[in-house]
Amino acid sequence: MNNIPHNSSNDDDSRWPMSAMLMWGVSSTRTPAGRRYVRRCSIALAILILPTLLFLIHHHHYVPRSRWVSHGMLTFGHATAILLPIVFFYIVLEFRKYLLSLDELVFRLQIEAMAWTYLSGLVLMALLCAIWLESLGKLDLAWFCPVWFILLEPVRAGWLYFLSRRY
Amino acid sequence: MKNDLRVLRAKHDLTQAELADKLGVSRQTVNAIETEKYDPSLPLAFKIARVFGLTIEEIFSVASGERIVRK
Repeated sequence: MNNIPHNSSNDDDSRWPMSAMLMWGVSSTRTPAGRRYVRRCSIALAILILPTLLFLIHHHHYVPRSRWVSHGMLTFGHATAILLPIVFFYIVLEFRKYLLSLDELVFRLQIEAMAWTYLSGLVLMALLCAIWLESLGKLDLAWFCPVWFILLEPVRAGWLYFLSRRY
Repeated sequence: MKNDLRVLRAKHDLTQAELADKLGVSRQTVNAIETEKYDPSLPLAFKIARVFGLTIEEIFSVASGERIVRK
């Protein structure tokens, strides 16, 4: 008797959730840990983004720099400067919690994706600097703004999706 | 590394998801082990052996042509 089950699509296909990987950089939003991470990150990002949008909509007209304080822009700038690291520190802590809840294969995928993201970031940054230097002859410090690192998150999600194809 | 996980799972009438639940891992991990794309860690191999009431050697074996490198 052959005990090997039929090669049904259910058992042979690993079925990694593409949308969860590409949108959130997690292996699943159906597990309690994945759900919790996505929910808490969404709330944290909403706390950061919504006031910014509201402020920008409210102050859509041009305000000279000398009148920033009277228009509440300096206060807003300070608030954002404080809020930004707090929100991202919270997301980092949540991501750590999420990582620790993973099983060994998914944990390995996440670590590999982060390693490749780090290397991709180095290459991309070097490339951008080279292009910038070549075209303008000098580097603008604004290019080194830490906010750009947020753009590495979709790169990590892409690497996670790509690496999961091996399994 | 070769393994008889699929056969054992069939004998015990378990789905990948049910086995994954018993082992505390994702279904994808069970699938990757079954399809021999991923070799489990020693603690996970022990867990698998315990679920089926066997020893690790009875479930996992070195594939022909695969060498164990001793340092």
